[in-house]
Amino acid sequence: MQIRHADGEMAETTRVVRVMPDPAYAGLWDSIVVDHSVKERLLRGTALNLRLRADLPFETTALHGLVLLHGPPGTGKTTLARGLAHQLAKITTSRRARLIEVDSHGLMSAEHGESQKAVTRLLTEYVPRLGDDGMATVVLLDEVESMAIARSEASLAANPADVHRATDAVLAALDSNTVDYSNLVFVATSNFVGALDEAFLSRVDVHIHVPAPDESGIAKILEHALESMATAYPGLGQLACDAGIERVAERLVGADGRRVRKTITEAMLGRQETVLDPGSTTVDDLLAAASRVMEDGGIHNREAEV
Amino acid sequence: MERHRKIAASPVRSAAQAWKVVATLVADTLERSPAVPAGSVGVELAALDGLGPALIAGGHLESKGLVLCDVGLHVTVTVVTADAAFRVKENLNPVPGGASATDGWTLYLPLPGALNASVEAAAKRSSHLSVEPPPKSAPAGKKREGSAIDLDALREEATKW
Repeated sequence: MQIRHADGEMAETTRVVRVMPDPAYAGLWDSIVVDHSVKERLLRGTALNLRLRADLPFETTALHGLVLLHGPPGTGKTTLARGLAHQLAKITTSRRARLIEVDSHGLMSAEHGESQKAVTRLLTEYVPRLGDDGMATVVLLDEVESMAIARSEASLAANPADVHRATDAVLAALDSNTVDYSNLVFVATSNFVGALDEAFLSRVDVHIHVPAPDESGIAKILEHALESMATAYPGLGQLACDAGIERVAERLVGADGRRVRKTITEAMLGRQETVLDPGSTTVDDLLAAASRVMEDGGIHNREAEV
Repeated sequence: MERHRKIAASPVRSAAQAWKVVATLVADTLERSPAVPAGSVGVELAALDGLGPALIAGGHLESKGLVLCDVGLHVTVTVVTADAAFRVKENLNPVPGGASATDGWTLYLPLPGALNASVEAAAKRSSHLSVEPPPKSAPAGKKREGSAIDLDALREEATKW
């Protein structure tokens, strides 16, 4: 679609607009190792939300088409939201779904009143026009705390009027879109639920906590990552099946999923031989890397929720 | 949701050019819908050839404007002149709601006094033009079929969990 005039800048605040199924997104859902109940709740909640809002008026459902994924950094919230669009395509009658990924930070401006205008244009013009065809559409508001900040906490030093206006614009857009566009579902992610505006939180239809992985989850993440890397370095396939992975996982308890994955590359850079041949990485390399990661990676419970 | 589009005319562009912008905006909005064939809106708006620019030149679309209505669509288009034309930030993108337009769309025309007879005559030449007072909001929306959840597919997916 041609984008013209005032909406040209809107394209810059949306990182991605994709129609699913898309092969590039096919593996995302399965790549996140998290308790099954999290994924089930996300997909069921979204499907039910779309269904009820299509069948019943807002006055009856009070649904805003808003799902919140919250939890510590690196737990896969954004990836799950992206994968959700792909999963959703499998269960719609048209077998298609759209993902619109919003760069929340890109909407905020230091110029007086500009944040509100940008949010309004994006959420009441650009997004509805894309979703105008009725296709089930997931709008990912990543790190939503930057655009729906708690108004009660707005600092006088940080232009509180603009904070108010931007948050007001988000709330107003959610209210109008849920009535006019029952095919839109907003999936917001946040590491800082305490920083979110109360009125925004009260509009959330489904709250889903995405926790840091436990020991068995960490082992699965390592196995999955090693198996995926084995397509390029076959030796890693054997390592993925090694019983020693459990010891590595034990050492990594407390790390988030992103950090767990990075432990593998940390292991590879531990020796010149493994840099030259990553497939020769061993459990001992992983154990040493896990120790380094836990010592200097600043690993602690970083969940900043209140 | 009621929407508003403001178009700049003289001295930014002539009345004829401004009318062309208005007609293109209306066509682009409606012809995104499978129910509105490409080119069909232009045919209907041909009844306003000559009259549209006259309405703009006379300043008759500055306050009242044209109102395009259909299921889930309600947009008022005003055309401003003079200083206001320099200040307006135009949004010429298709108006949200157009992609689900029906073949029952209507463009409501204001009756500007001196040109009443011409406007009424033009409205009679197309079933999509009207001089009746426009509705205050869009007619109730129809179901958007694309968002429907396939319950069988959902059951099948659930077995994989």
